[in-house]
Amino acid sequence: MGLIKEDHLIILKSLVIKDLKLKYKNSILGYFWSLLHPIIYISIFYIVFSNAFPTVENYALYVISGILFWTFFSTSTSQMTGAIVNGAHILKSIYIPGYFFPLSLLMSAIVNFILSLIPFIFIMIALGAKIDFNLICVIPIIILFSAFTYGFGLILGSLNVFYRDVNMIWMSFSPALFYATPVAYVIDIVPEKWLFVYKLNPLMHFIEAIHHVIYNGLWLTWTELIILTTLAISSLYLGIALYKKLEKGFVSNL
Amino acid sequence: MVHKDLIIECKNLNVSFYIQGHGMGSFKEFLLSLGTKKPFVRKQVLFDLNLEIERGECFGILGRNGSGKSTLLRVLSGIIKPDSGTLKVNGNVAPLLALGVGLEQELSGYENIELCSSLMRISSERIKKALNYIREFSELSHEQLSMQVKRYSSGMMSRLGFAIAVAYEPEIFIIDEALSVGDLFFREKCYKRINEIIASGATIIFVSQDPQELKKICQRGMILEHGQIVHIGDINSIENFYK
Repeated sequence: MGLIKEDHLIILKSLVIKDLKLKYKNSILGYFWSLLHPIIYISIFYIVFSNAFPTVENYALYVISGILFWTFFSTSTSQMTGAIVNGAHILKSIYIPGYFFPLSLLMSAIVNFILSLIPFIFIMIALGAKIDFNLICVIPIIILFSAFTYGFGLILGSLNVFYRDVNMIWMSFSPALFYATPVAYVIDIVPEKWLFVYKLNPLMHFIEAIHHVIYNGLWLTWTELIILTTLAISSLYLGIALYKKLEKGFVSNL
Repeated sequence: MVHKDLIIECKNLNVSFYIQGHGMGSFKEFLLSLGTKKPFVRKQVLFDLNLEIERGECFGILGRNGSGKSTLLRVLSGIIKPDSGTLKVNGNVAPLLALGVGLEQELSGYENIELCSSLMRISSERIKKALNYIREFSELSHEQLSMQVKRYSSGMMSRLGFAIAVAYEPEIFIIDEALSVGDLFFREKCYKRINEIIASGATIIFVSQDPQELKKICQRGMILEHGQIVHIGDINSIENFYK
């Protein structure tokens, strides 16, 4: 993909600005939706599940920390799936690398994510999260998680150019993945003999790492860091490899 | 031999598409085709193309629908990579493949000027400088430019699209049947601007199905049929050949 050139930065910047503007165009609450969305989710889970897991101490904090990251993943992947297809009119009339479209969407999602994180920090403190130096670990997790999400989104976005079914499949599959990830419940309820299957879900590792840091107030362990890095690099590698293989057919299939 | 200052040089250019092999009509069809048919078939669009365009020239491309005109333009703009052959483009290409298509419906006229110009790799300082020109050329008021583009009429959209495309002096300017839009008065204005661009020393590639339209600005041209050049020469010979 080469190095990012200066003119590429111009393009990428304007695409990110466009994505951010389009996201809340024609909506009254605008940016506040990125706060309201997780709040609605959290309230539902709190009401529905807090009695189901009475043993989980400070259930609200547990859910918040996981759901913010889950929402980031699910919204950005679903947007990235359609990114190249939606950029068709531009891709067909000017030379712009196709991977810019999912990339700009991811970048605007990161901006949005970080902006929405700020008010939630206060909520989390109110809920009893400890503010300590170990919270620095959130930064590498966000970086690795974004890289993982990008690779994954690039796979979905590239395939979706040829088979629009990909979008439909992902729309039905991602809620299922949600229940296979310990966001609303604790991992202890998974039967031990199924744990090895459960651990195949890469998202589980990211969400558990977040619980580890924010909910348990601990430092990220080296093992966790190595697992997350491996997942992020593999996903990026697969995404870029598939993109490069399919890139040539984009314009004729859009 | 006189040394020619070539701005575009294609040698033995072959371009093909990858198109889904099986009909996507039904799931059954898809399943049955697995293993028997290749998922993607190659369809060659341009065959062994040789083309030289000199700097400052106004070159016309004539051809029917499906003859490969748009594909050729996309190859020249770097959007599609050729399978084989060499392509040298010694200048920056301004795209004008389809007017107004690059505009984002939900954004305002001003926001679209920023967006489209940045996609053309124009820096923000240059965009600022060109703003007055675009406003004047498109004949859109400040009020209209502050409006979302989806509320524009199709004429307003193409005026804005054209104004953005001609605002920055490109070295190679591609016009793809663009002038069939807009009212008569605006069309005259477009031709005037194209002549200004020609006078500034830029190269123009003009694509059309109508030889009369080509004749207005081009000196030389070619006829494309089924992805092959069937004739290349001065514009009068093109017109005669096409008849």
